[in-house]
Amino acid sequence: MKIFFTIFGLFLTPTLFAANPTPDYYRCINRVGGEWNYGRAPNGCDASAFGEDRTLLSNYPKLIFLDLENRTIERNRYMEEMHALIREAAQLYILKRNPQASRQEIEYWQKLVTATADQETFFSHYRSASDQRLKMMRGDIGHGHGMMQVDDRHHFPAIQQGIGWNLMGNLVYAMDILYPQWTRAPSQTCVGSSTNYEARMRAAWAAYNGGPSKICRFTNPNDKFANNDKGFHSKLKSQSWKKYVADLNKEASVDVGCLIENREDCPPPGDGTGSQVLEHTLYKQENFYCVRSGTKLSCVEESKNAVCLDTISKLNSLDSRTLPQHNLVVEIVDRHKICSQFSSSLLKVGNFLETKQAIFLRATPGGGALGVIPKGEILEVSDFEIRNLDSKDRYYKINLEGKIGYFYAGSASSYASWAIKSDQTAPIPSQIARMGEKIRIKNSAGINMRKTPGGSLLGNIPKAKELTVLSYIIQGSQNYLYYMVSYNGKAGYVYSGFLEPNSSVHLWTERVR
Amino acid sequence: MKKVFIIIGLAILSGLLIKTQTFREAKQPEPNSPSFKKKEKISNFTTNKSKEVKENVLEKYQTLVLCYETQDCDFPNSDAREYDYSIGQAIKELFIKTNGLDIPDKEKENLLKALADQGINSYDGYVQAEALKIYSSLPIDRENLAKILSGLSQSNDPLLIEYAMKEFERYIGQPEEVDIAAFLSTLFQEGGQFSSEKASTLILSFINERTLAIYEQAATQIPETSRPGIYLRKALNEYYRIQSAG
Repeated sequence: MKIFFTIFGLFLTPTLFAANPTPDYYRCINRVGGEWNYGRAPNGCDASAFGEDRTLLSNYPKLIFLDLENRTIERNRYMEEMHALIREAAQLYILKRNPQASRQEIEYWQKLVTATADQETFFSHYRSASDQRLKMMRGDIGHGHGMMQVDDRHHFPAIQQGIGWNLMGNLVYAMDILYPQWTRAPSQTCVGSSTNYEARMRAAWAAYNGGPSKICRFTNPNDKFANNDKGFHSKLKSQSWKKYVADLNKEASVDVGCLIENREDCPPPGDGTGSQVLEHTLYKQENFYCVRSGTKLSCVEESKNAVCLDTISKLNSLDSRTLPQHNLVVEIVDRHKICSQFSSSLLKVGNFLETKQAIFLRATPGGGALGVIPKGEILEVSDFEIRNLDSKDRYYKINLEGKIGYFYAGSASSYASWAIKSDQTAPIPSQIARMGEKIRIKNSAGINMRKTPGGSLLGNIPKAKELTVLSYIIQGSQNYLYYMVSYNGKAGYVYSGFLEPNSSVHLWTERVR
Repeated sequence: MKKVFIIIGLAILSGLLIKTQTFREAKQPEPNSPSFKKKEKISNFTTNKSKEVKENVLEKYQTLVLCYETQDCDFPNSDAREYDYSIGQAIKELFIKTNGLDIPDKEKENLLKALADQGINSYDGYVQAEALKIYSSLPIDRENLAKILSGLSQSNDPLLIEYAMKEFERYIGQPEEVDIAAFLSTLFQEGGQFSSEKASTLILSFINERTLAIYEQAATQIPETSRPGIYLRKALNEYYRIQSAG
């Protein structure tokens, strides 16, 4: 841990808008070699330097190359999985950016992204190596991270956030760089038109590899890096990845759309859709996840809350199916309520906690180590996530001296050795006023007081009025804050904004100190 | 005796006034006098020097940008990307050095603005960030905003967009905010994943009477499950709530 303190101390605060002087093989621990073949390109370093193994295993169980398995069989298996993921992700990505993209353009874009993954790393990203550790692809003397080789000198903040480590994050981040070159290419003299797809792919990749000014590099056989373009062209023409993929149309074993948007904690797609809504089965519709209980369909927003539906109807697994047509009564349930029921030891938003050991602070629950939270630190919970049906692993979002992030706080059985509820107040002032404190109404239209949060209207409390807080409650996917107050002889609730992703509380009330 | 003192006093006073006048006149050189010509020479020299400095800086900028085209400048080229990145860093250095020049403030401001007008369109995100910094130090200006919006229209850099959002906040309440709304709407619908997501988390303060319709229209075009769409719709709901007092 001391080594990590030192390393983090050296690299925690890069200048945002400057190339970072990241050393070769930055945070590369237990480096292993490989071979220039699919899934095992050299080198690999411990993935845990950039993200949780637990999250990696949970999110991408079938997208890890297993070194100890029969090489030929494993390569075929891995390539089929990876190819499906890349194909689906590329399609969703281009349709998101250009809903009018033609079938032809989509296919060539998919081919470009696939060939890029091939050229950069032979599709290599995660690997379970012979030392029994999970590795992550690190090329270009360690500067290239993951399948698409996100460079840690020029994308250091993204690397710190775990984007290079997270397979989908890595791929999407790379497509964000590749796509503008794809759209720029037709206007270049070396391409000439939007349907000159071969030149367009070659140009886009040349710019991805060498920078925007190199977009026509592939036309110059004397360029210092002409071999890079030749290599890419060769891969584009041969498509040798196809040799390892039995089913080119296989569906991805992960929820690609969800991972593009959320990067972590997406229930994998289940088998088939079926025409009936079954009990104990998780269903998905748009951004909602649902479970049936009798004639009622209980739904919660956001994939990260899906596991808590287990408290309503015991889930067989977290595989989700597409919700078919139904006649059930739909009830939207509150994440705070069902997740507390799912695990009674889960701390609530607004609670203070004390860390019982030094713990990594991460940009997301599973990835991007930002630093270390010391043991004995008092912090306020601003959000939570709970994962895994059996272990009920919990993560809390906190603010550590201005650095906002998440930390792993143990499972249902081990949480007490990670972080426990505290009666002490965190040093950073809370946005939430507590019982007995005063708040002042800031909204120019005042705030309506209601019998229950969002319920029937009791009256309006005007701007500038000061009230004493009787209690507070947090509801909903954005952590909506409601205060219980007394006004004109009546007790009721006033809405005071949301806490996530960026707080709006200051538009509604302020704490009177 | 009293009258004598008054007369002497007046004489002394007159003498002082005459002397002062003479002194004042002596401070104003004659147009053809050597001191007048020297003063004019200094003034011309300063103006010419500033003009020379400006031309030098802009020429240096153009020379660096040309390096992208010619591909034969003396920059490191040990890996595929190093050449492009090195040009970007050199341009960034030019911005920083220009900011440190010992020239009158107004001229420096004009020079930096001229650089920003070029740099905002750069290939390099670091250079664009320097350009943004310069615009942020200037009073709000419709033309400057137009240049920013144009320069960043293809940006995929979430940090750059986050920085730009701070600059856009200065235009809230100004007629130009509808141009920002149009830019952000396009970003949410067609932009890079990370940059559009970042901007959408910051959108609430930009929604008001003047821009509401633009954002509402954008919300109908963005898929239900896309993160920018989710955040935009939630921000719109919050806006309605604010108007209706919760």
